Amino acid sequence: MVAANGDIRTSYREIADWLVSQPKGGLKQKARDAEAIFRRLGITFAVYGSNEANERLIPFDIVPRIISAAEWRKLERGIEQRVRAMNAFLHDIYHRQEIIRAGRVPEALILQNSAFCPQMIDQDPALGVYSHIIGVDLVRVAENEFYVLEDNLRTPSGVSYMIEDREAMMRLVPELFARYRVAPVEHYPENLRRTLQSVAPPNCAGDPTIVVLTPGIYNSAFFEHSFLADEMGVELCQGDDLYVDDGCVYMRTTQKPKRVDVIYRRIDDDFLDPLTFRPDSTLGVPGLFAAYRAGNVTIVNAPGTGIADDKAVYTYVPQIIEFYTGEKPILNNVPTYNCANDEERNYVLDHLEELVVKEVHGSGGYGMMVGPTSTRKMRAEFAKRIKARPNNYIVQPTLALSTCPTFIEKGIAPRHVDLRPFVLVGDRIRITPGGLTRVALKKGSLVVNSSQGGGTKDTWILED
Amino acid sequence: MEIAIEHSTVHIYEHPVRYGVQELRLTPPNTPSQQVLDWRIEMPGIEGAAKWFDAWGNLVHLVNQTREHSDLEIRVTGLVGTSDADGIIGELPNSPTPRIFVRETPLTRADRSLSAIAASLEGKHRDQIALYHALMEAIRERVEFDAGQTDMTTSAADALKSGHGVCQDFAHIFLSVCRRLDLPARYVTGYLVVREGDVGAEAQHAWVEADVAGLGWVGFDPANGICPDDHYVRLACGLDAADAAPIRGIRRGSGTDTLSVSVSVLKQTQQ
Repeated sequence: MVAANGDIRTSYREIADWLVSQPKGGLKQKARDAEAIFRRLGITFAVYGSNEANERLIPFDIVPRIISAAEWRKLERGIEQRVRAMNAFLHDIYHRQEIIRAGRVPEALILQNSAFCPQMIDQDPALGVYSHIIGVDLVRVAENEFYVLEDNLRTPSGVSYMIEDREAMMRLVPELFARYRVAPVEHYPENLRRTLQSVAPPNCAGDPTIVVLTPGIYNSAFFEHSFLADEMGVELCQGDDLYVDDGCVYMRTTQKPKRVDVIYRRIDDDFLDPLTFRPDSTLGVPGLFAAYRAGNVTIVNAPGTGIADDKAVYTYVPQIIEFYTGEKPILNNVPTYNCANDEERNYVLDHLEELVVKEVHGSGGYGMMVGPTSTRKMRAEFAKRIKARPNNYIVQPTLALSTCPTFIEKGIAPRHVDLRPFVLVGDRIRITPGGLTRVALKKGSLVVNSSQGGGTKDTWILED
Repeated sequence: MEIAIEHSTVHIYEHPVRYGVQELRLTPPNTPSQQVLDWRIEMPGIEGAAKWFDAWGNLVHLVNQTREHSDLEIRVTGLVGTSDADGIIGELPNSPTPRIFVRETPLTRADRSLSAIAASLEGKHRDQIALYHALMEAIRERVEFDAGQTDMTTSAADALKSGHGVCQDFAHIFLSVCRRLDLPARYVTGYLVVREGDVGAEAQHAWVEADVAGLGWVGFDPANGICPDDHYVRLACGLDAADAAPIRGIRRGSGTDTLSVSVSVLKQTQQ
């Protein structure tokens, strides 16, 4: 909120005035109101690995995060460039593999990678799109300077918070919306539906039937699955509700079975189809992948997109962007140390207290270590793990993440934030002006994941 | 040579099955050494089957049954004309880049013993063909053909350790060593006209194809120590046995499934 020279950034001036003008106890009351709203909406998030309180509210902060129109325009261009390049990369590595032949990415990194899905080779998804729904994790380190932390090209979650956070804010502080021209985010479900319609299989006649496929109520993001199905006006299905007949996918209904054309699946590749992937999966639909290969259904996102957001492939994203677009990347990658290289590994082991270590196949903030807040014991443990399996870890410098004013027990204080805007790719690229801002509620903490006690904020993209 | 094949797979279910679905990799391609003269798959649901080519260029049928049933027969009959092409397959249509077949799988992951075989072969042979023959020899020295000691889920490493195996295990060991040497090699399923002295008395057989510079894919039968000739009919290929399985199925219903398979692969005598 505060610029380098100590002044309040223009975009936050109105917020600052508003905060100052609040009566004593007013903010605390708003925070309580917010909690009541979210309880009523039933937005909860399951935290894996904690016995008590399996479901809890994600803390919501009432001070919005503000991004100027100019900054957003640059972000938008950068994100669009990135998702185009990533979809081109996915098409290439599942077809001719020019990027490997050209020597820009090592062959073994792709072919031996567990996230590479050989079953996808030579499959041609509708419109050539593999990753239709993307949530790019960004951090801002300075004015107009954003870094991409992760691309999240598989099944990113969190978009329901973007929409619900906005709804809550409009109820809580309508007066602030009168002072700012905030770009709307409520079109997201409509845009999602259009995107899904546009990638129906070419042989689909008429209006395509879309479903959302969920693993069920025990999934941490079940609320979001049902929210999106509701908002789009499509059925929410579990594996059992669908079956394959004569190479097509059908949904059981109270009347006759209904043919399904597009499946927005929120279950992982491994569980999609026990005939093709994990044979013990009971969440998926046997024969679904065959129906997909036969061109009778579209799976969104396509199986095998995980190879493009694999943490080991991440290091090569700048080269990937240049290879497919011929342009320099607009958004920065965080510089990443390669532990398989002796020299870089030695540097890493000597500087663990200032670096961030992430497990290559980890997600949600599990299996990671943030150097500056780590204990000696944790560092020793991670040093041992890195030496044992250098390819299993990526290591990055600790970024000076921007902070955002946040309401805490004692008043307003700066807390670190990141940003996940949501991108839809179909007949065109649609980026919702907004996103999920996650905030690390612990003082000094850089881990914003909700599974690690992070909270959310509404994200305001200002219009000119 | 003309080879007549009859391959029947019968499932008898303890309790009625409400729904079943099968993926079949049961259609031989035409290759330089085989010409499919007649081929038929008969089973409930085959009329509506979806046909598609998988990642490796195999023709796959997806078949399903929506009526309640207590048994299921998958019956394949065909006639294939074969010739001896020294195992050379070359490039088949719809094949991806051969380099994909250096990918390790759980069944072909190399352990220390497999890596040791790879190391003992590296750089010692004048060409790839000689190396592959030496590899077949090395496997046959270490593993005895013996049905009943291993099963569908035995890995190359475990089969080598046990010193016993069937054609699937010989093939997996071959693949594991090749991939260790960064040489693309793939699993192949098919049928064999069994001759005196051949192992694999069951006429369903498995072998491998390795990529040879200038020739493309060349077949090797590690269980018998030769390149496939006109006694072989090739079905499908894949990264390993699980990937190339001729029949994969799932059913909705409880209870046991009693499976019986009969295969007859006969050389047709000229009229």
